[in-house]
Amino acid sequence: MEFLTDEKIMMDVKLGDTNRLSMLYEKHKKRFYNYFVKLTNDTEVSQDLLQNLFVRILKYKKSYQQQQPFLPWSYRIARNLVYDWSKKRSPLNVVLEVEKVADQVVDDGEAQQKADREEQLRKAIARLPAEKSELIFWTKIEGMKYEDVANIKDTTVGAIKVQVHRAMAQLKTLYFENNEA
Amino acid sequence: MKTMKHNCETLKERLSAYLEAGMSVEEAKEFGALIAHCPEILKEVESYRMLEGLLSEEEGLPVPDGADEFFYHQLEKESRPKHFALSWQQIAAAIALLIIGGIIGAGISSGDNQDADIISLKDDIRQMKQMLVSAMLEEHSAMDRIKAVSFTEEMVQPDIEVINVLVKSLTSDKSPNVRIAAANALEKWNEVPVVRAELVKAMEFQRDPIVQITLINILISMGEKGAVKPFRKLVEDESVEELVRKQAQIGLEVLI
Repeated sequence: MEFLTDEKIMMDVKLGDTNRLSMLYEKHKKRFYNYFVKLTNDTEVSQDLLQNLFVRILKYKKSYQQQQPFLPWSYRIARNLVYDWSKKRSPLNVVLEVEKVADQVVDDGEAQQKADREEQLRKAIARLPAEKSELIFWTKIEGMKYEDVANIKDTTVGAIKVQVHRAMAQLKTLYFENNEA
Repeated sequence: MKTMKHNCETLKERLSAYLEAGMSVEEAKEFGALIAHCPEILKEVESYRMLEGLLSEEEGLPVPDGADEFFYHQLEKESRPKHFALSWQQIAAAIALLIIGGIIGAGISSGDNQDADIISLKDDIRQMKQMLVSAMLEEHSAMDRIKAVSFTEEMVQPDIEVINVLVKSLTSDKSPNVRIAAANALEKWNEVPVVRAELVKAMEFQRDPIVQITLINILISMGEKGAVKPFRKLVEDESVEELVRKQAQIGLEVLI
């Protein structure tokens, strides 16, 4: 019996069974939503980008190649969406947007310490350039393989490892700077 | 002391490879022993790992309710057939008119003609129902096909042609939701041997875990012994989703 993989479902979508895309949407929506939040620091924009991503996948389903790993392929589309969005936005919005995301953290006593740490981390990631925050999101939060990240960015695994280390070094500085302040 | 400091500076250059899995297990072990004498590097490694730990614990924000509407609307639009097709409501209305017309016709007929009219009317209704179901299953969106399948649930007597359409839907409809609806509709006629056989047979071809679980549950509730073989096959197949295999195992325990 064949295992139902993302790639198999995407091939069904490509061949006309478009309703099956809802399975991929339900499975991955949280992952992509949080990717967009990391890069835009805006939950409302991220909701729109999430919708646009899957509508774009639907639109460009014919360009999906058999056996092509679904996630790296989708992340390439997601990156383009963020790029298009970033060209339109005003840099003055950044601080406000960071605050908007921070407001989402739930204040419920026991979880407060964890929530505080997450907020600090989120703020630190928000201060990173987009190229670095997405690397951290993929490799450290999502736990994606370096090979898949290299595939998305069309580079080598070695180059990704160096870039991740640089991104982490900068994040470390920003995070501890915030915490010590 | 100066040599040790010098060594630590040299080791720093390899720190990136150490922290980002760029070393073999042996190399990393060796490197770990060397940096044990470099407090500055140790501190850096510690804070790096701590940060990695924090990042991996991040649960992420849930997707807000109502965020899906635009996507599902577009998906519905995309899956809708591009050619002209009657809506299921239009066809249902046509049937209703036909039935009412037939009843009136039968009512005003007299004597010998009445029985013949009723037989003819029954035949017309049956044909129209079959046409309705076929039209729904072949022409419309997934939502309309589900409605068409639900329509058959109003039928009191099993109708072999309708059963055939439902079986066809169960085995070959593109949408897993329609296949589930068809399986549930067929369950109603589980006394019909062909229905039981088709539900067992469908187990062989279904790949969607939710459809598989639906079928397993139906076959368990029917106490269908013929399902033992496909259940066993599922349990033994490691490529099948864990949840499906567990459900098939429960099925085996109930049926054997």
